[in-house]
Amino acid sequence: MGIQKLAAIVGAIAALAALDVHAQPADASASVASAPSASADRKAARKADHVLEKAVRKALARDKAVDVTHVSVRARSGAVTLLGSVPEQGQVEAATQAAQGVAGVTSVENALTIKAVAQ
Amino acid sequence: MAKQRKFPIKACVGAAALCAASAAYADGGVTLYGIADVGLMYLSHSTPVFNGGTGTGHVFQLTNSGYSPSLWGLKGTEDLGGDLKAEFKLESGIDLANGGFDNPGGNNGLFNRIAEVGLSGGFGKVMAGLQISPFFDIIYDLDPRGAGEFGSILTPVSDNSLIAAVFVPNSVSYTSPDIGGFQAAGLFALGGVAGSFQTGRAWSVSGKYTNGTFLAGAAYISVNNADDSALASIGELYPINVRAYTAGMSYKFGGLTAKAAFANFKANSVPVSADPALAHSTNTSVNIYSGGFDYFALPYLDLNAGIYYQQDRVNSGGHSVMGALGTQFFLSKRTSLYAQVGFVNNTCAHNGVCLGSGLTVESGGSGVGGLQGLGLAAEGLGLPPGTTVGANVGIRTTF
Repeated sequence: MGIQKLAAIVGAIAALAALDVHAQPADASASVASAPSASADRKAARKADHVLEKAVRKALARDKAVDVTHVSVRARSGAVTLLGSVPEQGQVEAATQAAQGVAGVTSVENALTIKAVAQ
Repeated sequence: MAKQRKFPIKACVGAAALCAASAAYADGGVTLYGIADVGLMYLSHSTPVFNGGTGTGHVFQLTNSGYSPSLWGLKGTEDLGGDLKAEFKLESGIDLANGGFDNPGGNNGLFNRIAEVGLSGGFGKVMAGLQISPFFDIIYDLDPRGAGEFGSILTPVSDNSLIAAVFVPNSVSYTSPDIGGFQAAGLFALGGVAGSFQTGRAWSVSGKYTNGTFLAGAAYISVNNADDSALASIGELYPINVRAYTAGMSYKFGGLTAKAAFANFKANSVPVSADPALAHSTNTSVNIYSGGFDYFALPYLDLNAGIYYQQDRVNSGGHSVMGALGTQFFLSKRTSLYAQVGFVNNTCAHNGVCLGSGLTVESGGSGVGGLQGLGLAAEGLGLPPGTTVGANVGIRTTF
């Protein structure tokens, strides 16, 4: 396989992944209501999700018991999912507690796994 | 008085197992942990042409450590009161393909990856022993592919320093507490050579900042007389004195993390050659530009991609580009299945000196698919230019 072809595949997947971030909330609410107000609601909901994601990441960064470096946060209308990894088992539960303490979080799904440096 | 003090000791001897067990659990205990990772790997080239060799054939093999290194270890903490803790960690590499040791850098010791003990508390953490460098901590934080064993930043790091920039023996380290998102670390290793303080000494510093969403990190390492010549194969340069720095950043957006980093490796190296006349030292300097993303499509489905461009700073025109895609599906928090594909293209410099990058660290330590450094094609050493593609699928379980 040529190097250009592989580079094109890498680029295409990166682009798809970036699109998908926006695609999911759009699909969820598209079938519910009609054009202009629906799109405004969707936009507001998406913005609220992003604000909440950032707030949870900040809370995790401030928690001394959690290494936030390899943790991602996804929020959907107050339901938060913790993604990625922490280096120690004890940090998994600590991350759930820190996320639950953030205003606006209604539920926390913890999908964190264990992975340390050089592992 | 004497009798009173004697009694509990005798009781302990009588029920030695019970006493030992209660002591272990009361103070935090000892944890046995590890990773078992094995996969099937295909590489379109396996062995470079050097010293008259001809093998460049493809290879399909069972590979240990397809994504993560297979290892087991013991770790523990003891609460000493007042926020002070004693900590230790002993970690050993395993070769799952044959049940033997997997020994980074030719270290045949039982705990050949990590052997450290120290204290942690509000002041931070001080550890001593065989440790992972603060430099590599930052390398790991800035790699979109998790610094895995196939098609990640780990291969360029290994190409340019073998393991000198990763595992540091005879060292003492200090890691600061997290202060407003800032954290710094420093490590110093004593060479222990009589009459020469500089022989065998190493030091490394790192700093990083994160607010949870944005991360910036930088680190430096300097190693004299790196003792890992056993890793180098004929045709490779064995780096003796390594100087390296890295800097980069990452940004998170929902389930997506984007990363970009720069690193430079300078080494004073000697080619490993069957002909002693060729074993003169060479100075190398290589820039590594890397970037990519890590994305969770589902809570337990990770997709990532990374691209790594290496540029020879000493011999103009020499460069190498490697790219890889990986996916990992977690069957549980402990067990995952993974699949990875990658390519590497090596281009020799105008003067015939070849810079070569391997696609994986775990294919026997030689060959286009394997760990390799710079080679001198003009002297019949080194790597042929060209493209190698590879893929692996495997299973990783942690305990």
